[in-house]
Amino acid sequence: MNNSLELPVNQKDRLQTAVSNNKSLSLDHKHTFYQWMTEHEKLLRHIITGFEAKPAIQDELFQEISLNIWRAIPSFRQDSAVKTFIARIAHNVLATHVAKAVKSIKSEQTLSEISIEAEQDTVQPTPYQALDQQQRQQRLTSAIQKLTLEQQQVITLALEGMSYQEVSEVLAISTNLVGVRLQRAKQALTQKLAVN
Amino acid sequence: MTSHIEHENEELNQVSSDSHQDSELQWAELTKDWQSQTYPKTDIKQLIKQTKRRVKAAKYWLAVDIIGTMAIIIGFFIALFFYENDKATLYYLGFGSIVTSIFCIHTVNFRIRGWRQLSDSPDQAIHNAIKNAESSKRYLNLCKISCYILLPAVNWYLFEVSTLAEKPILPPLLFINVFVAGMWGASHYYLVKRKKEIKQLKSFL
Repeated sequence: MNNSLELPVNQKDRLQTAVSNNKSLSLDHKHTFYQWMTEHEKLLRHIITGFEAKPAIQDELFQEISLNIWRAIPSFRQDSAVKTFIARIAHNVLATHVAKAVKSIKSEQTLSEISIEAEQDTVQPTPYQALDQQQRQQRLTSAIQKLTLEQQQVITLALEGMSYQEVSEVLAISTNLVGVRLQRAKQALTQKLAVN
Repeated sequence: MTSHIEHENEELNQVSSDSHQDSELQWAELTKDWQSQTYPKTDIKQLIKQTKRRVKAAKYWLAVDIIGTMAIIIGFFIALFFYENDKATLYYLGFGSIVTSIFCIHTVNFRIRGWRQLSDSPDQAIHNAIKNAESSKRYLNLCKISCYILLPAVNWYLFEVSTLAEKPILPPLLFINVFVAGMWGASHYYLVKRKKEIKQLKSFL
């Protein structure tokens, strides 16, 4: 009699544990995503601007990358840094995008279109300095968008301050190859900037 | 003479060192400009909601696919054991079970492969995109072929059923033929699109 009563209770306990485990996993997933996106939003936004000029498509790409990050969270292993893991997912999406889309080379983002909510530097430049800086930034992104895919990949990561080792982890290539590609990319970038 | 050469070498080294310093300086300026770029801040909470919605929608459609396939297979077995005299329905459901199972397996494989490729090497991204587009092309070809088989099969089934039920055959016949034609048209449209995409991706390699 007792046995027949205990079994459902045990099952109920197991079910409750499973449900609470699921809930905590879901919360962890959400929390991890929130933390990762908050910490690396700047990195993602910057990388995207190196590959795509149109703000509307940049937003679509950001959402696509976010979705892929959300899906990839369970496959994240602690053996790599979050930054390189996220950058790798972003570069996967962006490489496909560049290959599929006819690149829009001319930057269509005018100065007035840049959001007023945008993050500002800690040291506030004078209006003249800010304008000058924005123009240089536009020239830089426009020049990067004209590079080849391989060059875009190494240059955007190097500009983010990543080491050769980190770039090699993101792109799954040797550090020597990173050095060679980066050298060529820098030369190409200098030429494009000189033309601009 | 020797001191002259040494002097020239020193000058050359100086020039080379200066140019290295210049390029380092230029790179440092570029890095500073790049890292201080402004960007529109994202509402992460809203992004989570949006992302969850998209994941749920993808799971929902996959579930609809699987449940639909299971329903047709169960329907076939019910017809096989309880309505064995209704040959038309039996053949129709049997054929439907095979076709929908093929489509369902294809869809599940496609999605699983897509999820596995998320954190793959970016060097493989274009190869993966070609593989996915080719898989999608095969799926669409299958859709078109199934239309060629479905059209006579459905017409035959409706004809068989209408002779037994003695109901007017024209409205359902018209509906199903337009539906199959629409399915063929949509498959053809996406097939042409996919072929263009594959050509473009291959030209990029």
